[in-house]
Amino acid sequence: MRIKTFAILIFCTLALLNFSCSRRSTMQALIVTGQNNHNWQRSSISLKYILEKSGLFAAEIMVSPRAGEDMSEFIVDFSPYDVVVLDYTGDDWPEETRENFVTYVENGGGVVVYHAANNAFPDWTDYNEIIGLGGWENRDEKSGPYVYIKDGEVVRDYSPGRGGSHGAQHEFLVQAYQPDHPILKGLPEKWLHIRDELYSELRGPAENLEILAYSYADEKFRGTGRNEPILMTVTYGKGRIFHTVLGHAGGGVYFPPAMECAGFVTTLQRGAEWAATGKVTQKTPATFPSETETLRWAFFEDIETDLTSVIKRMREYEIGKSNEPFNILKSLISSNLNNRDKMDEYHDIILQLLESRRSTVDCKRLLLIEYSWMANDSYIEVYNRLKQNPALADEAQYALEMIGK
Amino acid sequence: MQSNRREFLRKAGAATVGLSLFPTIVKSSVLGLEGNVPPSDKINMIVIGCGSQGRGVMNQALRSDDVRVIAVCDVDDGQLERIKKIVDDRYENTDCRVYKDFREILEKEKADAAILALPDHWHALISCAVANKKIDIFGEKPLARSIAESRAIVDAVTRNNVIWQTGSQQRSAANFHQAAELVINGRIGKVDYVEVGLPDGGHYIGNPPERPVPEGVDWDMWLGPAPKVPFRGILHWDWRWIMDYSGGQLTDWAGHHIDIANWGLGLDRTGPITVEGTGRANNDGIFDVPVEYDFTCVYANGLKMRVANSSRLRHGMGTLWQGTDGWIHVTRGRINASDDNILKEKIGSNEINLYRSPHHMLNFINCIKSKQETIVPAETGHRSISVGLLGEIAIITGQKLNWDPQSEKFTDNNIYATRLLKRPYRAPWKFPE
Repeated sequence: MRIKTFAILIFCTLALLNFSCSRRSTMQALIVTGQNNHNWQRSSISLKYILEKSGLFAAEIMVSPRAGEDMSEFIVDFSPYDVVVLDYTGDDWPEETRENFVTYVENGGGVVVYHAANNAFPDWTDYNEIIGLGGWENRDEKSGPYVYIKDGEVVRDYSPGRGGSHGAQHEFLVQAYQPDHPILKGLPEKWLHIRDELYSELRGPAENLEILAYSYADEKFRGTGRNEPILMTVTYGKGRIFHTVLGHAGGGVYFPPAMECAGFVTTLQRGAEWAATGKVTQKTPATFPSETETLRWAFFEDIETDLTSVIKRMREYEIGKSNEPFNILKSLISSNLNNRDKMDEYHDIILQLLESRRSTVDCKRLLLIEYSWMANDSYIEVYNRLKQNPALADEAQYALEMIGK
Repeated sequence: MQSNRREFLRKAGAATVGLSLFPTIVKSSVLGLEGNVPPSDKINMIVIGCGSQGRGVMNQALRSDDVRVIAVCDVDDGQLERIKKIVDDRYENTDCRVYKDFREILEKEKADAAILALPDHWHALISCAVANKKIDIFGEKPLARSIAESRAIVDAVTRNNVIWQTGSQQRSAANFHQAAELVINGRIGKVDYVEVGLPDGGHYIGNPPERPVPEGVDWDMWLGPAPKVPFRGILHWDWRWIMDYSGGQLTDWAGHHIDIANWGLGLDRTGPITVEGTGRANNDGIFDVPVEYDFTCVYANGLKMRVANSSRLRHGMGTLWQGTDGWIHVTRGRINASDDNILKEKIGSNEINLYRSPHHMLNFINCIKSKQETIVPAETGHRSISVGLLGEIAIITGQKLNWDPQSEKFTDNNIYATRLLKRPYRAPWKFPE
């Protein structure tokens, strides 16, 4: 086997593992990509980040030859991995790789089917049984039934027609159908997902398939008017498969917005763990989208916004304790600098912490040095008072100079 | 008289650190084998900042017979002892003089040139003081900790008409030169996107406890204009992860891969018009620089430059120019292109021939003698770090910055961003005017 004809990109995982507070042994994830009618360069790196930020996985990205190139040496051994994340739709894999994949799943390997991976390989029977439902690539009634939710019941609809469609991208509500499934347990039962493609009219063998969550494909957005499956599980042999249709990755340079949705990140992390182990040990996140407001996790991270607890931790801050509350406030400030009401709230918090006799000197030092760039004139008096305190005189002077006073 | 690179390296003896960065072909037409340079013609050199970088850069200068290192300065006696031994061993005497206060070395020594390898928060004050003494400078990148300081250095260098070499030594390496020259001559067509990958994270330092200042270290002087804090063992390297002294990997490496991006795009005298992005710092430890960062600059001609920690980028570390006819990616020890034939292209003498330096220190020495501009003059170093520092401001404020690269002001009276162009100085230190 000559590996050089295709690229295995193994990105440095050490930096990411730094952030993991877990000492559990790390599971190995393989993201297979390289051909896709989507921006696989952005999606695969996002998937890697998401998996690694769970603290449970180290992820490798395997890139196939380009479309139309010789695939014969794209031989993949899946057996060393706990979970295989499919971000691939394109030319057929060689026979050996296909056999390896089926054997891996049969023997209990975990799989995550992500977005357009359910477009792949319409004629490969085992693959379609593994993904449960697929779309496009000439799929039709021969591929299997449509599956959707009607009046609270799962419908298997064998009527003829195309497999796979979506209307205009829009924000839509994701609703739990099996809220007690380990992947969803503890999460809100409905959340508003960031603007995305709402995959509809998927069809496939749908054997051993469970719908965990669905979304209503509104005709307003050229949808089907049906409750379409959004998150699913499939079992195949001893293997567990988690299938998410979410997370469209288009052009642009940043992480795809739909992949930064807190709901997408959380369900992908939990779905991957479930696929790998059959259990979910991850805590439910502190923040989550509501039914009416989406939530984007910058860098795929859950940032606590309970300000009471943030303020308390800031007040008690001493060097050696976590900087997290300060980083939370910083991130709130930088995302709301033009929002007067929010900024007034944050100014009040900082001024009270600076004035309070209960806040530590280290807390005040940090606020004087790192938060003076966003101060307004109401700080001048406080800064001048703190300048009289020998322990804080230098820092108060710094703050005054920062605002040009 | 130009020194010959081969001769220069031959004198290096066992010192081979970093050689792989340098071109391996030297034209026989390169001028002049040096004879013995009489003492009066030698470049009297001082070193301020004698940690590993200062010693490394000085070791390169010691190879040249044109240079005489006469004195060294550091706030740590231990560092002074180490570096004095290197200098004295080289000259087989005990003449190298040592100082702990840069003001004293500048007052007492008659120097022609200086190597400055200091923590970033000290760059501006000392660079300006040295330039004001009409001393030529090899100054480590990044140019300074803030944009205002960096501009002050350029002004002092210009005003005093001294030679300045920025320690962005990648410009003296063959693969970076080749990449930039192919790009600037349109070999990948018109470039509308460039991607710059800098290192992830940084060294995790946790929460080292307060401890006594080691004997022989002037801690207050080390802090200089930065806020006063108790000593926690942060002295010779790990200052890189604390915002008071540095911006982390982002500002450390801006002077390398952003510098190279600028070179290939002819941006050495200008900057972006908008900057926007995000970043995040660790939640524990006194390490507070961004460990993940991702920002995008737009230039007047529509060019976009994205700068991010390398894990976020497909090509990882280095500079990737995307043109209408292909791409070139360059990083240390490697150059790649969308088509190998691009790399076989020759640049004609009637095309843009980018400055060619045989070796970064040698280029500095040659320029001191010829009074020509170095390969990375102060303005160039300033423009490279400005991109990194604008990114830092965009990350801190969370705002899209609108920047005028000519006046170097924000065009929309952004008071927050304007404040962050400069960092207040602790008394008695005053911003170098």
